[in-house]
Amino acid sequence: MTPVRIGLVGCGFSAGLHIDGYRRLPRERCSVVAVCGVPREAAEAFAAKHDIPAAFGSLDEMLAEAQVDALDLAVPNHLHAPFIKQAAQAGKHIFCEKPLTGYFGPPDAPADELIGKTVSKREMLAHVARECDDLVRAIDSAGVKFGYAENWVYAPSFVKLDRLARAAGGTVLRMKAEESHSGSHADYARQWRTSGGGSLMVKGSHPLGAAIQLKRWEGERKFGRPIRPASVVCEVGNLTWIDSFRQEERHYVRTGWRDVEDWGIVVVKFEDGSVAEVKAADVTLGGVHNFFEAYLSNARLRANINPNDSCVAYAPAPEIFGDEYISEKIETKAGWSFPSPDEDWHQGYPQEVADFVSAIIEDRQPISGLALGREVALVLYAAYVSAEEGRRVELAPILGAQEG
Amino acid sequence: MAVRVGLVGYGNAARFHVPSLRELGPERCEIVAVCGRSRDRAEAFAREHGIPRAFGSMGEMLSSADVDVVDLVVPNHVHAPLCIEAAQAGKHIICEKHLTGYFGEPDAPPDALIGKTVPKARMLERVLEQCAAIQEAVEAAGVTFCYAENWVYAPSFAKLRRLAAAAGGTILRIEAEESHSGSPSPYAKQWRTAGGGSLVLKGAHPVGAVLQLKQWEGKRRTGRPIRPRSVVCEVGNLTWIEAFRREPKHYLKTDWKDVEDWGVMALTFEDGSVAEIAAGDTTLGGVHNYLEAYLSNARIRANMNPNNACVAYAPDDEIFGDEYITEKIETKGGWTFPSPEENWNQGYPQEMADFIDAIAEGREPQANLMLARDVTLVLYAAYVSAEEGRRVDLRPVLERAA
Repeated sequence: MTPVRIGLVGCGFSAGLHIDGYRRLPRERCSVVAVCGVPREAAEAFAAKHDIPAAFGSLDEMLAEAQVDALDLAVPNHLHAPFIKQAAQAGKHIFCEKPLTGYFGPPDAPADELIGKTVSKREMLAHVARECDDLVRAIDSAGVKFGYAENWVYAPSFVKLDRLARAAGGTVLRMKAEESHSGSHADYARQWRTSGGGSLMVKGSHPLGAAIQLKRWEGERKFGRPIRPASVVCEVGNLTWIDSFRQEERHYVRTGWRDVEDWGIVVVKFEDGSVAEVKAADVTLGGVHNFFEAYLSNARLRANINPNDSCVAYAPAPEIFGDEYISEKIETKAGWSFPSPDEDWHQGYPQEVADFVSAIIEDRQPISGLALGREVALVLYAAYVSAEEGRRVELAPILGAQEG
Repeated sequence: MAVRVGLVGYGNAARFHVPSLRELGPERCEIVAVCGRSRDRAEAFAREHGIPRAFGSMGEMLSSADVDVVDLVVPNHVHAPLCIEAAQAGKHIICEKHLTGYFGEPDAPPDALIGKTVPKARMLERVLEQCAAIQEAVEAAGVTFCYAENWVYAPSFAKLRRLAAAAGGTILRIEAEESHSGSPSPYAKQWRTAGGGSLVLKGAHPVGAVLQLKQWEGKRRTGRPIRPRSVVCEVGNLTWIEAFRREPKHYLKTDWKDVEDWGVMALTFEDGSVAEIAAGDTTLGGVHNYLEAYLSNARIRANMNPNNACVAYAPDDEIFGDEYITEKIETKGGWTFPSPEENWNQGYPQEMADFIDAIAEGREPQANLMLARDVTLVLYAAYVSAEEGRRVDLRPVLERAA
């Protein structure tokens, strides 16, 4: 067996997560043969650090010079769409970080324009819908594999939840899921122009993806076709803009959100009448809070992705545990804490990478694929329309006909 | 001098209230009379509970017995007229939730499915009129109105409030829910008798606690309550899902006629803070009641039920025999979270203590008329939101009721 040759596009945070995933796989299954990034020096430094044979300053260059089977797109959100098209045209399999795509303003808009305040969400949705059509066409006609890097779909506790749901066999009536923490550090997350949205986009896309996927599986199992989202109601807010909050002397949650929400809730109704309550916030203290709960007719299941009590610790003072890692975004190491034994594993990072590589070897599509990525993007922007216009949005005209 | 209580009603809620009132001791409060539509049943209740006098109507009780406060433990649809009558007689009022609701026009047949036929906007209009009438009667009489929302008094929620006061941060976000596997009572299945579905019967509790928490925060900060500004709501009938209907065995209650069995609302307050409130009749695993507050400098969660004050495991359903575990749990097998003292945990004795003291001291109780009114109006405005598929501005609604 020839190992799958991976070309890594991007050399930032998520590239680091992915490389760790590839490195956990046996060497005969895959090999990261090249990395590209801007500036070239950053790519070279990343290559040196992770022992990658070749580094390039652009995707064009990498495609021209390196022999790769698949591209791993670990680049900023607004580059997903153009890079997917380029990769598909070059006949490469694609592994793309979420979101599939989004609205980031017209290409000629100034970098600091607050498009979240000036462009209507309806216009954004129309743009995203067109973009999704283009991407589906490009990938379909190239006949390549497409992996949508939604790690929640691969998180061990969510996978176990799905297995229990299958064993119980009952109807998934209601889902409740959330991703929250005290706010992204990255500047790009504060502005629509670079992030494509606020808490719902950056965090909510995870629980939303998992909810849509769970109903897809249920439908495929019971009726031979996915149960798809039918309507969405959404509310968003900017809780760090509250007057009494602004007056506080010290802030423990991140601030400086410019034209994106720092809290949101999306209520999705599915075709069969079942529902999902999906929440996301950048104002939650106590570390990353990621959970997924499913209420079946004959069982109730909860996946505590983070925190969970697989390890519980207590310290009378914050310095007791020294440099030992506790868990993402926890403000203090004092008091009771829930240290993550292996955060990447709990969140499904190595598992998503392993599935993508297996899919290529086995000539099948990955478990988390294009259809999911597309629905998440469309439902999210439809949710933004709902919040902006203060009304329920029907999804059938947006999602179109059932695939397959 | 002891506050003299006249009970109006002799049903389940009356049974809850009597021990809580008695717990306060005879020098703080005395149950002097009970009344109800059936004089015989009122007399039987009086004998059973050692209450001196029994009457066939509230009017009769108020004219013949020395009563300071009426405790309304009667069905929701008679709350409004009885509140007005009691206020006009100059009596203080303890009123079970809800303050009022929409139960159809008086001439609607008992089996009319008004939840399907009457627009929610019209329901909200009627409820507004009733709230205004109650408000006017209570204000004119200058009596104390106590809203029996036990969540406001649940010890875990009271502790949450004290921690929030100590932290002092802004309450940015609140998340709360009351759910279980469905009310067994037929009255809950129909709008005509229940006045709504999961949101009204269950959601009223978390809505009450959430509204009280922001009122309290505002009063503490600026002397003025922080009120809700808008609501977005979605409701559903999860037990009507085709695949569910076909299942051979149902663990959840079914047969909801014209009321929702699940709902969620997002409230935005005047200050920009938010609350997410859910209620469901489709939740297995026992009663699920909690409220979580996300402050700018703290995060606090009140687990009313279940909580792990006591944790048990049994390899088999029969091991614990008749010993009570917790409300609406389907099996005693496996891991369970038995309630050591459910009434205390849910705030029943604590609410009565505050009411009786408030009346004795001539002050507002923590759960007051504004809370009772706001809860009712928010719930019906939420129904309007769900039916019309749009966000509803609450400011004009709350202003008109005041």
